[in-house]
Amino acid sequence: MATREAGKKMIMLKSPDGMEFEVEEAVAMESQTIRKMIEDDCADTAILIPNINSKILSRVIEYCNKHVPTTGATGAAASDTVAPAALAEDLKIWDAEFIKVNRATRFNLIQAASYLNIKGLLDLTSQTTIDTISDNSLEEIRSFLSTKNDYLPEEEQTIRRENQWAFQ
Amino acid sequence: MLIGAAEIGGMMDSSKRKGVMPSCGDAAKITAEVFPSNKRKKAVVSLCTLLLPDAMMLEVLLRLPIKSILRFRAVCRSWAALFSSKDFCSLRMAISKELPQAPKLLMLVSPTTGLNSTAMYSCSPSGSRDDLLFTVDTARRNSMGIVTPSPCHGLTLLYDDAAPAYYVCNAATRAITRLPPHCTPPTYRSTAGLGFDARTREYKVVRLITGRCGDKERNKCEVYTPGAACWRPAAGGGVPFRLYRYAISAAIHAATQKVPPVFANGLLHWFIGPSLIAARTRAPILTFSLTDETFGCVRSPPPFWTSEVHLHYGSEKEHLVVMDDHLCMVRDLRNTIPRDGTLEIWKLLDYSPGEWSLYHRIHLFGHVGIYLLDVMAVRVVGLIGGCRSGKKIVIASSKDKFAGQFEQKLHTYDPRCQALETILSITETHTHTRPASTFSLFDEESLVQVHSKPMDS
Repeated sequence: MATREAGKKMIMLKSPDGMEFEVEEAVAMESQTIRKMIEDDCADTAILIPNINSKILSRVIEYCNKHVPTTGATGAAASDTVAPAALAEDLKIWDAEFIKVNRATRFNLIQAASYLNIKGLLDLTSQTTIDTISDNSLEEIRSFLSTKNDYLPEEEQTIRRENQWAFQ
Repeated sequence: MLIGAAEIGGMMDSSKRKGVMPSCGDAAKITAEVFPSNKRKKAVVSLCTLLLPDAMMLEVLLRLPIKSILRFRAVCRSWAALFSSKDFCSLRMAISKELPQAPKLLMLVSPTTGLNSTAMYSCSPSGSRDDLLFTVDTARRNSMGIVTPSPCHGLTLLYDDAAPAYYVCNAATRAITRLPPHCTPPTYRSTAGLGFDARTREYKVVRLITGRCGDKERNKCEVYTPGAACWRPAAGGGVPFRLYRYAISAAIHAATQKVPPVFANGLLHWFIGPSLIAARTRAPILTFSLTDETFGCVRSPPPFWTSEVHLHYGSEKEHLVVMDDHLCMVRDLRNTIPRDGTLEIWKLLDYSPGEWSLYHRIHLFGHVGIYLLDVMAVRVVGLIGGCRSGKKIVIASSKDKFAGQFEQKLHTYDPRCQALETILSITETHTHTRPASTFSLFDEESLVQVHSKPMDS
């Protein structure tokens, strides 16, 4: 395991396309999957992250870097000088900017967050998707799923009647 | 709109390209359970794997608002099957607990025009717009009350004492069901509570009935499960002999004080109040397991229990509440001599040795505090607020004004800054000495079904 500065362990992450990323252990441990590997002592050499290309992996690391508790990169003093509320507000603005990506990238980020088990990133990416689909009409959803409406007309009517308020 | 719908399509494409990917998230484990592998359901499974290529899709669907979930049940059969499965329901409950939510309240309103109906509204404590959830046309004016002041898995128990009939409602899905008729012999007292059976993942409503038959005190316990045509005796065989007197005290206390049993850790808990049988029983709490349907009791009382002599029949010195999934006992020290003016909340840490610890002491001072010192009844209802914003303790108060008028108020207490705030106030006219509550908390978004049949059958 590489050591850059005193007290800061470094972890090597490898993407399937051969890129290597050296990150602080605390940053890597934002991912529960990697945390478990480190705790089980399976992280002596570089950790290969399957199915996540270097472009996505670098974005994920960017996210973890920002969200690691403030004692990390910016120094221990950060949490004393900045009020927690202001800090949370700052993170929210940063998140909103971070998620302004195209759809394919966002889906890849959901997959990565799900595999690496990074709760905050999973919430952010899923919620953004939800905000865009929750108002879609049934026909729109069906057509893009290329699925057919397999209800009999009277069955669909029953569902609509049971939860009338949801269709208003 | 169209761009939004393309999200799902795009998601499908991207996951088909990448193939199914292993996931360590909880959702992955559940996908397998949602669609059991028996042959009868094979058709459903294949359709679902097409629609849900991996855990990713489920992660997204779990975060849909309840209104969208109900609407999207009409997309196709497999989505309806997924949304009404108990696994989906449990997972969504777990996720919604972590999302920050603005606290909301439920309120029952009877129209003053004399119509035979009662309406349920949701409202926000800040006083913004009210939403009509549903109307119960069978309940007469002013006869309906809310039994459970805080929801259990998103469900609320209602009681219409004119019918008489119990109702269970899920405010998030706006579903309500009327339970089959029950009977209570004229001289008997009854108390009912709502709990959740972790094994069947369904709610149960439990009634404890007590009264005198000839010269013998009798206890009875009845259970209602969704889908049943009638109430049935508890499967565990009713109240055992060793707990008979405790059960009588508990039922009388709950019925006269109108305090429902509270649900925590798979058990319903009745406070064993002082009664004519025993001024102060040694065990403070009667329990009923929702899974086994058997009675038990918590034998070790909190440390203050024996240091006081209780002679106040009918006045409430303690009551039970659930906070952060822990059973707590609230000790009302408003009217001690010399006047202490506090409410203490004791948390039960361990059932078997009976370990209690003082969780919080609320000092009643300031404008709202002084009001609370003088009201007839003060009851701690529970906690509201998400994990990030910090939780607040909710306190209900009831004040007897004059000529059958009661002032019911709801207050919040912020433990961090010790600030008391009144969030709701209603004045009502009742003929009863102690009116049923007309409001409840509503801060859990749940998909638990109140109806017996699965929605897609």
